[in-house]
Amino acid sequence: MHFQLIRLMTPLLRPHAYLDPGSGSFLVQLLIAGIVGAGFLIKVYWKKIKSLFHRSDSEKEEDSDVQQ
Amino acid sequence: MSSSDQRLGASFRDPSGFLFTQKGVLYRQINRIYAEHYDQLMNSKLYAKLVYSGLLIPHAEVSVEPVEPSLAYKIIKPEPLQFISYPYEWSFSQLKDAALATLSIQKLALDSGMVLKDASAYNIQFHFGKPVLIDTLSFEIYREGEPWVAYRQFCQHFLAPLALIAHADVRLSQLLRVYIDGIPLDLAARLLPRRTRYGLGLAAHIHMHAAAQKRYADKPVGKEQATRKISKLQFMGLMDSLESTTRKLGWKPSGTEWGDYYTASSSHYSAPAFEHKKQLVGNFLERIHPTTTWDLGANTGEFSRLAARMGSHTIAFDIDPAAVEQNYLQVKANKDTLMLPLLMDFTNPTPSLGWHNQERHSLLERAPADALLALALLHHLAISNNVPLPLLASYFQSLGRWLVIEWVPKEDSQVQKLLASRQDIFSDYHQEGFETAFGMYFTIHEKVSIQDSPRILYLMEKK
Repeated sequence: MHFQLIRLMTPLLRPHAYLDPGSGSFLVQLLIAGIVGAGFLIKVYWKKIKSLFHRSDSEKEEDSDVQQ
Repeated sequence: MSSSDQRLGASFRDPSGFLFTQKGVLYRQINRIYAEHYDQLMNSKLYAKLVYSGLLIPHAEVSVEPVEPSLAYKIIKPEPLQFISYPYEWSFSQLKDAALATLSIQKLALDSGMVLKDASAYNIQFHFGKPVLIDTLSFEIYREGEPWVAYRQFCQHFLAPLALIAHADVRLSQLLRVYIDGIPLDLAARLLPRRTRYGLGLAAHIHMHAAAQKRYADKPVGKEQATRKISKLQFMGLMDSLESTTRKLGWKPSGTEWGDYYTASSSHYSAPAFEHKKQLVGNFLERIHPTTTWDLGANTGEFSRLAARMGSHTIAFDIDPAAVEQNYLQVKANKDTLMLPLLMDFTNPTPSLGWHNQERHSLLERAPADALLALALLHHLAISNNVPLPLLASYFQSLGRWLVIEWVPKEDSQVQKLLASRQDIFSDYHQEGFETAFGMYFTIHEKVSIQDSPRILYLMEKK
């Protein structure tokens, strides 16, 4: 079983990758990244949508036409 | 070149290369093992972007004979730093800015297909007032699917101490002095108040992280978990989460012992006395024109600024985290490039730490400065800490050449305060005793009484 983790972590054991990522830290990172990844996607799109409205508000129709 | 003793004591962990000095100049050998990554850093324009943003120390490739030719790919000469400081000498905002700089670098690196392979707080230094990465070999080529190898290090070096200062006590930053690879997360989790378990960021990156470390310390990992990967989007999400968690942490200095002391830093001087003192210190500094100045008890840096404005690289040390914080915020607001506020207790200055006691330098190893300011400091060391005057003079002599020192006599209200609750055992603490003690180590060039005050300002030079 432990072999699996070592196999996955092997790329991290490249000679220049000198830090030990730590198995607990490694797994909790997978978990957290899984959760926040989805939120991050929403955040990025939300920002894009907001900036679109902001632009069309301030720069009037001609610019928003270009955008679309 | 044969002498391996030129290698720097702190430069041994990463096989990608190491630092060495030759004729007093600092170089970094890049080993062949790292060639592909170095080339990507330079060719992808990441280096140019980071240097342009002031986030990475600039370097030049030079043709210097390598220390270990069999390993060598290139030798680079990084731009020299004025002073090396350590995270346990930084105020809250300095550590926070160093953390945010690390994450900004990570973001730019990802844009260029690279990633930070370490996130050590010791790789960040304050250079002309701003945090900058000094380890050019901290980057590696990003491979999608792989998690961040430095995640644990970032949490231990930055997030844990910042969270402890923000939510528990500012003095806990000193744990960094004990734990050289950052504060163990289980310890941080125990010391943090319960409420931090319910905020998203700290709950995940400190509490859950600590629990996972404990759980998997000696247990095998399931097959399903072990084959999971992190997409680039998830990776960016993780960085975004670390950034917002860091940004949310704040600390207001008002809670510390001397919190209000600085709002009226001249309170125990009359206005003319304070102005006269400023003028005298300015005159002395004009006379000696120091290239580097250490203000040993700087408070919020009122007098240190006199030196910095003259073009002297100035370190403003103070024992109080609130003063250092206020000073740093002022440095940032003014965009001062020559001032570095640092936390230092001169009754117990930074020792040498780490492997062979050579990784992190003591304060003494980073001396001497061209000039020292010891203003309103003597009585704290001589009376509160019982240091005899000859020992003080001898210590100051080891720290710098010129000394601008304020004699604070026993009849001064501040000394009376210190003596109010204790027996006066300081029979040698008088002006003559002071001059005799310091006269053994320094030549006294000038002394001037501060108007409207019993204090005297001296200009001395190391013998």
